[in-house]
Amino acid sequence: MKNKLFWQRAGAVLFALVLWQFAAMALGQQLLLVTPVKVAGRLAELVRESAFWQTVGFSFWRIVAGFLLALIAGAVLGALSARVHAIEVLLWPFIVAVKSVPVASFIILSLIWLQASSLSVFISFLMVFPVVYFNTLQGMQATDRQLVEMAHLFKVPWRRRLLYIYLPQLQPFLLSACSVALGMSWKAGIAAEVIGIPSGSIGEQLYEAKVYLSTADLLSWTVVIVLVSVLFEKLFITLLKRAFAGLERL
Amino acid sequence: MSDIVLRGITKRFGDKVVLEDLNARFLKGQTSCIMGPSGCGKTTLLQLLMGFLTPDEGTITGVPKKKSAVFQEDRLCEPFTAVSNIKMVLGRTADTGRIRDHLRQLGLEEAALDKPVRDFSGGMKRRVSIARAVLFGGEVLFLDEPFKGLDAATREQAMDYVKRHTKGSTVLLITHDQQEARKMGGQLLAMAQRGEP
Repeated sequence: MKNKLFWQRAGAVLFALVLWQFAAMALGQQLLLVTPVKVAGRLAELVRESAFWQTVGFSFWRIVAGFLLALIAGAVLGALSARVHAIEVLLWPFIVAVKSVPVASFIILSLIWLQASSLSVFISFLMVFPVVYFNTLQGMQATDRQLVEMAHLFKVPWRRRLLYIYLPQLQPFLLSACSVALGMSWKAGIAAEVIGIPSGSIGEQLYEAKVYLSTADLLSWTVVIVLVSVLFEKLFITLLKRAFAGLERL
Repeated sequence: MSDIVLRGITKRFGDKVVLEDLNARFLKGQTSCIMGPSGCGKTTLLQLLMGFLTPDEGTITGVPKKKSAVFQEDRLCEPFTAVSNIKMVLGRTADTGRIRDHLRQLGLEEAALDKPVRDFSGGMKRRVSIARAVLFGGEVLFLDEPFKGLDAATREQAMDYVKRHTKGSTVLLITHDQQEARKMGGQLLAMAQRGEP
């Protein structure tokens, strides 16, 4: 069944590529739309350059750092908020502000506060934090009260409560939060780089592609962003699922 | 440790009075069976003794600090094995061999012990929660209909197991079954619905 779905999706991607190829050929304007063959060719040139990998590494580590920091902060504060109502109330205006203020406003503000090179860390953090926070809070609030009572009666220490009661309960909430937030962190992180133009970033490459009207470069880097973000999401979710499975074998 | 004494206990939920002016003494180191019709407040009484509820009036004294219980529900951590569920309350360094031995005494097969309890039948889960309560070794053991859902043979086995391992402990058993109460022995507290004699 899973195999069938894979081939169905592969067929859909192939169909989209063929459609793109014909659309670009019919338009005949490389400036407006280059063919996927040309993009693949440009991509093949790029990956042979060492600067390409440095650029990918620059953006990758910063966006992932922002994501991981937000994951830790969101999970810890979400758990604390579920236990202490005052913390939930105190954090509420900050979380709502982060959720509702447009990301462009934060990027421009951050440019005043921070160096351009740290921008994607901060913006990625800001996008991921509320998602993880709310999911953790929801997961903790949905914890089976009877299990908590049982642990209380048997005087189970907090570390064991975390392992046996809270983490299994949080599993679907954290997996869903990470799945949503990973995509967001890449989109927002790269947007921040395009505005802040830190030297040596993917965002700078996209900006230059715009300045020099190089559609092939723009689409090649876009493909790189999609590939890296999807691969990292798959890897991270797999590792997280394995960690939870390992927990159940305790 | 002394007797558990309840004096003038009243418990209300909103307008509903569940327990009214209840007085009782549960003897230290003995088994006490609490019987009564559904809704007469047996579980509420146990919840008060376990400290999950506080009485609106009256006092409870003599409840030891180290308490153990088989709840009306199994209250097990479903993704974990039977052994892990017991280690959760005993600690990671608890003797695995002893835990397995207790579970086998309750009729659980060796092959089942390493499976997640979510795959267990209701009766198997019940026996894991009985073993957990007994192995924890509280100074007082609260049993809220612990043998419910077990077939006749397994119930006998489980009752023998509890009796064997709780000698000298204070045991408070809630049951609907007179035979069960007779078998477990000790004093009997018969509770009536409010307004009934």
